[in-house]
Amino acid sequence: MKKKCNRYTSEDISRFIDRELPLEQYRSFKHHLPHCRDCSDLLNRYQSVSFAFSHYTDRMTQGIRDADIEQKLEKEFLAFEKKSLKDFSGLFGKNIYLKLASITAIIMICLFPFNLGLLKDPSAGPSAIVNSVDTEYTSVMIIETQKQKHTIIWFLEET
Amino acid sequence: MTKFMKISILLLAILSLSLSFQTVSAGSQVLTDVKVIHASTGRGGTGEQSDSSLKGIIKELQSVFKYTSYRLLEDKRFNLDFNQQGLVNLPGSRTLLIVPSDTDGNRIRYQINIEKNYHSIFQTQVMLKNNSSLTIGGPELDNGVLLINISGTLQ
Repeated sequence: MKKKCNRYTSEDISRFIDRELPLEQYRSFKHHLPHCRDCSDLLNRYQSVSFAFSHYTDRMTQGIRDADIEQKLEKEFLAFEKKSLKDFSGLFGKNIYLKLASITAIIMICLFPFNLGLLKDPSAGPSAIVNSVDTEYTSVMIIETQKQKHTIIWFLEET
Repeated sequence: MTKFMKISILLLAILSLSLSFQTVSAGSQVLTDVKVIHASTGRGGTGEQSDSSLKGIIKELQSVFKYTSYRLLEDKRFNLDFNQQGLVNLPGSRTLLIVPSDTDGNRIRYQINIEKNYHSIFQTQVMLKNNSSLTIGGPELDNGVLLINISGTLQ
């Protein structure tokens, strides 16, 4: 945009509208305006553009309802919450301790039917469990010693 | 499939293989030791007439019986396969027949038979703890009794 007045540039006028000019220059330009038609015209044009722009942005922002923003935020929050829950419960996410604990639990469950003897204390119980005794003599005793739980089968041979 | 599932399956596979290997390799043979002991109330008293190789057993037997003398008459070792019979001649025309039949956890199932003059007088089935022993006693012998100590170890 060309103007005949050389005292103030179009940039100075733009800065005047935005109140960015130094105070002295601002006053000087304000004093100059009523005497210069070129600068005054340019100022009016700039101001009308500025007004049109701010009016448009105001209309745009007024078009957005608070309820819509609230709803959108709520939606995003719920989506985030759902994702976090999935990370935690979906095969235990990134929690290494939970993974280790679940692996241990699986091993323990699998050990049970395989070999229950592994979980038992091998030193427990008598040295021998007597399943059956068959003899023609009537006196049979099964004794277990106190200390080492040594099993003794005692039978009396009748003559 | 997630990484977690892959690790779990791999661990289970390793565990299953090791357990099945353990079941197969856990004692294809059973080392069976039969000690024939004569127990009596000997004049020598405790320790004097007792065999040093019976030290461990004697302590346990003395907590139950009144005998003061324990003499080892025979010590016979067998490396028996399952269902293979071991035979020990006992004093007084008696015979001991012993057969390890199978295992159950940490125990060996033994079928034990005592015969006298080729006639069965005593039969028992026991589950003997691995690396442990039991004692069968009672038959009278030379002013004392006959004790048979049987121990079994899975090879």
